[in-house]
Amino acid sequence: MNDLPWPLKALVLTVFVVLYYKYAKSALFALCRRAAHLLPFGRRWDASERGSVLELAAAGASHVLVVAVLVLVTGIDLTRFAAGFDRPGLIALGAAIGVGEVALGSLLCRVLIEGVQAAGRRRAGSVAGGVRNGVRRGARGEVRGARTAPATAGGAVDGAVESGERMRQWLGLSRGGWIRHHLKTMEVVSLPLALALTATQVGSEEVVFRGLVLSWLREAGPVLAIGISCLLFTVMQVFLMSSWRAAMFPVVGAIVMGVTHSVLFWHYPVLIPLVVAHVTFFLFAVA
Amino acid sequence: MTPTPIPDAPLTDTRAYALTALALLSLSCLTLAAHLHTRWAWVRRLPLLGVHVLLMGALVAAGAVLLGPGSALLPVPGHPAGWWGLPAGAVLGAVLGLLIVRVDLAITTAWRTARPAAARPAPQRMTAARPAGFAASGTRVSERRRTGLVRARNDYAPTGGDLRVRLELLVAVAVGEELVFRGLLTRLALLLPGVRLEAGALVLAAAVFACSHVFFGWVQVLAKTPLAAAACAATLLTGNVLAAVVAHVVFNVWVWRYRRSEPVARRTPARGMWGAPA
Repeated sequence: MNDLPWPLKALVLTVFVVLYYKYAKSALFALCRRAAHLLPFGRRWDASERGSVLELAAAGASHVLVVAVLVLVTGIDLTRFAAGFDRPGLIALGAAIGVGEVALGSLLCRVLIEGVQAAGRRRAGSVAGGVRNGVRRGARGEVRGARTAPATAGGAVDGAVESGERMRQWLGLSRGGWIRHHLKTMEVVSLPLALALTATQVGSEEVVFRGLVLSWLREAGPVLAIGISCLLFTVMQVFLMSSWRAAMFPVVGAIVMGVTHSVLFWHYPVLIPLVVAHVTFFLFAVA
Repeated sequence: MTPTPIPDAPLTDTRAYALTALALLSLSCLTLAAHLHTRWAWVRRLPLLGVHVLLMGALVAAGAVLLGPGSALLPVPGHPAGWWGLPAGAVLGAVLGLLIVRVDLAITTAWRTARPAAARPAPQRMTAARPAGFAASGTRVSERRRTGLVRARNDYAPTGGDLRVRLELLVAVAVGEELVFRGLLTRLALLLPGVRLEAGALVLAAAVFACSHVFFGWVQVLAKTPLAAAACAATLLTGNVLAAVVAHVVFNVWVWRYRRSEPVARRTPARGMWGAPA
């Protein structure tokens, strides 16, 4: 498959990402939830916690398997990128980059949330103004503003209290989807085990989207290769999340991290500090 | 196996990683300070803006090590203004500061009159009772490890009360923010190859500076955009950050005086030794 032109390679990767990260992982998680009721776990964990730990462990194992399959398909030698274990300075800088990414990502998320809420209030204001002027009435004369106002509008209520409440609701939403199994695992299992499970999963993502995708698409040039890698990495975050609001945190984080890590990997093909940055990002976000 | 050509990189990998970390942490320094302040009790003993100033001090020190001792003060290397840029910057900064105060006031006032305050009371946060105090002790959930950023209780946001601090701290914030956003980030932007990339990085730094005020409402992002743009332009014009520092200090002194002129009943109580007295 190495003789394929880069557009076909990009197509193969896109199909693979959709098939694996959307459908295969969905089936895997359903299996884990079913197994959570059948396996003899201790009673101190409820079904949700058992399912979450199983999901994360299964996701890590399947990611490692996927890396192996992709290495066979693409023929890329991953040992070339494994240098960096003996460079604590570079690893510490990777951790600092992870902290910076999560802080910048959360700032951009906050900007988006405030922007969406401000737009909602503006729409609600125009709806309420229309109702006051008697123009937004239905065929039988009923007021339609209450049903047509967007969910983010907050009705006529404004101010910092309402904004803070909606912010908390939004943050609560973002605990769902695939983030739930990271949070639950972090809550219920021992810290070293939670770290190992999280590091296996996110480290595999780093290997796939930086090590393999960028190396396989190198002939496309930096802009296209980095663009495709970031796009696939960002789209992958949306899968298995309940709504676009819930997916906003991982999507914004993926854009910040995808661009930063891709540019760094393009010039300096070393994976270990980037894996450390990714794990630090996750730990800072969920721990 | 596919051979992967690796292009010649202009920097060593350690330096590139260090500059990337410096840029990311500088762009997000207020949010990072808010994260640290929200999470750990021992950090919470300090005022948020104090954590912010300490963080910015560490970044400026790191920038001095990486980019040279005067990099935050003189971010445009080889600027033709030379030392004459310093007195010119001081005068320009005072004029800009007074101008920015007017513009900021005009934007916030226009926004306030366009959107009247709400009449409805705030909704209740919860409708069902949940165990508290002794009833909650020993329950399994309370014994579990707490998780941070996406926990619903934690919105990592500074509040209006965090800004009600003594004048010394507000001045330190103004100096620190200008050294980081106009000093370090301008110097980092000018390291990029090509005028387009440089201009894009400067615009990004100014936009992120304005966006870092989003915790106080969307209008504050709009209101701080003129300050960001004017400070960036003055830095490029004079070659040093003195104009931006003076303008920001003038602005923060005006904010402090504005806050002090509010009725005592409307103010939040002072917190700790750095809280502004009533």
